[in-house]
Amino acid sequence: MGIFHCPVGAAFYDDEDCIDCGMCTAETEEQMVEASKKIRIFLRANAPKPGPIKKVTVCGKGGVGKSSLTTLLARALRAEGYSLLVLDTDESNPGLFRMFGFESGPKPLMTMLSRFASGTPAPGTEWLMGDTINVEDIPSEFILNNDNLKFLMIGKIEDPFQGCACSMADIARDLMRKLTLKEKEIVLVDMEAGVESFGRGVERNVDTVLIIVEPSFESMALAGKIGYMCEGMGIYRVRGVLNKVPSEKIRQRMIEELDRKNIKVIGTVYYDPELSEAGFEGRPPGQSKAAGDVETIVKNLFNEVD
Amino acid sequence: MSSIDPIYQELAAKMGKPDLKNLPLLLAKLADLEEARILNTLSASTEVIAEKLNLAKETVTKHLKALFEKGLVFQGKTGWHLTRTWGALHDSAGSSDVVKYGDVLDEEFFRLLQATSEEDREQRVSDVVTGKAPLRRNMRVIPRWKSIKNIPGLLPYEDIRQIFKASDPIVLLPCACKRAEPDRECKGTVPEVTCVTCGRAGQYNLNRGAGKKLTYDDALALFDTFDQLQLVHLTGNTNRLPSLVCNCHYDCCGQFQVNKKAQEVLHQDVIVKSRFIATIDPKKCKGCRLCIEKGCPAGADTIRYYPELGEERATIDAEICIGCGLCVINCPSEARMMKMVRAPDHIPEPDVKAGEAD
Repeated sequence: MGIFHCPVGAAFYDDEDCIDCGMCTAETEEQMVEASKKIRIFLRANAPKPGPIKKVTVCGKGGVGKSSLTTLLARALRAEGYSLLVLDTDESNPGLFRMFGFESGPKPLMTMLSRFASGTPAPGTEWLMGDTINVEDIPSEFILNNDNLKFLMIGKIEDPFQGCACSMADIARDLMRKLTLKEKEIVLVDMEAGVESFGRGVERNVDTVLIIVEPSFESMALAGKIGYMCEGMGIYRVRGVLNKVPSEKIRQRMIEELDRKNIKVIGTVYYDPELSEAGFEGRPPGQSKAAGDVETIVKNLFNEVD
Repeated sequence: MSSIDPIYQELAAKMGKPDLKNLPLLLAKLADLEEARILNTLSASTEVIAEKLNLAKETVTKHLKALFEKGLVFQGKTGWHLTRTWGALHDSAGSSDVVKYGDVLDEEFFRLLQATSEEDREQRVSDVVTGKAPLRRNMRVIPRWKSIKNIPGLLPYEDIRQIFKASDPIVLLPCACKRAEPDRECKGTVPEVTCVTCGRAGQYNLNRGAGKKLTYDDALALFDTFDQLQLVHLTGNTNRLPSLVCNCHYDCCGQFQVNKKAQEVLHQDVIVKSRFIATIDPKKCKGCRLCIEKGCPAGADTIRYYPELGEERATIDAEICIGCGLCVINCPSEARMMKMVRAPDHIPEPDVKAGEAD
C-alpha cells in the first residue's frame, strides 16, 4: 500500500493526521483486522456531534411495527408543532398511506426513472437535479398533503427491465441528501425491512435512526447489525424503540441485551391491541395507550438533544 | 552487484520487503552510504541522528533534505521516519524531481524500480497462493465524469468534479509507473505527468518539489486533454475523498500489471470496478469499430452479428467492463451510455478489511 491510500488521509506515517493504525504496513490478514479495529475506534471517537433532529429514519425487522409507529410518531411530532414530510420507501408494504388516513397513494417517485433512461434529464426532473431541494420544489403530483403532513412514496419496480434495484435507493438517497429543511420541518422515512437499504446508503444523509425492536431474538440481532452499520457510516444518534412489550421484566431484559449491542433505548411502547387492530384493518390507529407511549418517546428524543 | 553494503538489505527489511532482491540495489542507487546510515537510525530527530553518527548537524540536515526530496524520508510529528513501505517508496521516489537529482534518478534507477515492481508483483500473487497474505484490492476505477454526469445518485468520491472541488491543494505529479517503463506502449501519445494528488498528499509533494499545483479549472482542463487517450482513472478504494487520482494505461500501470497476473493465476481482479458499466444501443451503433480498435482498456468491446438488425454491431462484455466510461465519451454515434449496476456499498468504508472480493 502506497502512501496515497491512507484511510484517514495522512500523507505518510506520523503525519499530522496519522493515527498509527498500522494499515499502511499491514501484510497479514490479522494485521489488517487489527488496523481496522483501530480505525473504527478512531472514526467513532471523532465523529461530528449530531446536530438537531431533522432527518429521521424508522427501521427494523419486517413486522415489528415500523408503519404503525411511524404513524404515531408523525402524530406526536405534529402535536409538538412540527410539519412533517413522510417518505415511504418500503416497497414491500404499499399501504402506509392508508394508515395516514389517505384514500389512495401519491404518484410514486419511481415513475420518473424512465425519464432518466435517455441519459439526459427530461423535462419535469430538474427539481431533482439541483444541489438542494426545498419541500416546495417537489411537484404536487408526487405529494399527498394534509394539515402539516406531506406524504411521498418512492414506489416499487414494476418492470424488471427498468433498471437495477439500486435506482430506487438512488432517488431516495439523492432526495434525502439534497432536501433542505426549514425550522420546525422534519422528514420521517419509513424504511423497508432489513438491512439491505443500509448497504445502498440511503441512511447516510440521515441524522437520527430509530430502530424498532420487538421481543424476539431475530429483531434484536438485526438491531445490533443496524447499529453497527450506522456507526460505520457516522450516524451517531441511533436509538432503540421497544415495541409490543408485554411486561416490565421483558422490557428490562431487552434493554440489557440492546445495551450489550451498544444501542441506547429511548422509549417503550407496550403491547396495545388497538395498534394491532388498526394495523390489521389498515386504518389510522385511534387514540390509545400506544399513542401516549410514542408521545413520551418524542419528548425523550428532544430532551436528549437539548 | 553483490558488492553493496549489507545496510541496504537491512533497510529493505525495514520496509517490509526482505525478500526482494532488487530493493537493496534500488536503495543503494538512491542513497549513498552516509545517507543509508542516516536512514538506518530512523525514526529519530536531527539532533539524535547527528549525535549517533557523530556528524555535524548541518550535514545531517542537508542529507535529510535530499532524502526527503527523493522520497525516502518523511518528517512527522515526532521526528524523521523512513518511508514505511516499498509501495510508498515506489510512488514517492519514482515521482521525484529528475532534473535536480538527475545523477541518481537515471535510467539505471528506473530500470531497478521496474525490476523491483515486477518482483513484488510476483510475490504478492504467490503470497496469496500460499496463504501468506490476502490479496489487497486498493484501487478502484472511477468513470470519466462526462460519461456519468446525468446519472442521478452519484457519490462524491466517484465524481472527479466533486473530488477536485473538495481538494486543496490539487497537485499534479509525474507517474512513477510510466517513468519506469521506457518502452511503454503509450509513449507516443500519453504524457508522463498524469497523476493527481490531493489534500495532504498533494501538499507533501509540493513540499518536496515534486509536483505542480493546479486550480480546479486547470485540473478539469487537464483531464479534458485525456478524453481521447486510453487512460483509466484509478483511485483509493474507500468511501472517502481520495488523496490520489491516477490516469493509468493498461500496458504500463503497476496496478493493471498485477491485475493481469492475478487474473491469470488466481482468476481474481485486483482493480475494483466502478459502480457503472457501459451499455450499447445496437440500433444507434454504426459498426465503426473505433471502440474495439482504440477504445476499451479492458478489452470488453467486440463485434457480433445482430440477427434482428441483419448486421454486425459492437457489443460489450458486462463481465469484463470495468466501468471507466472511455467508450461512452468517445463513441461517434453516441450509441453508448453508462448504467449504474452496483450499490453504494460496493465502495467500502476505510476500515473494511482489504482483500475481500465482491
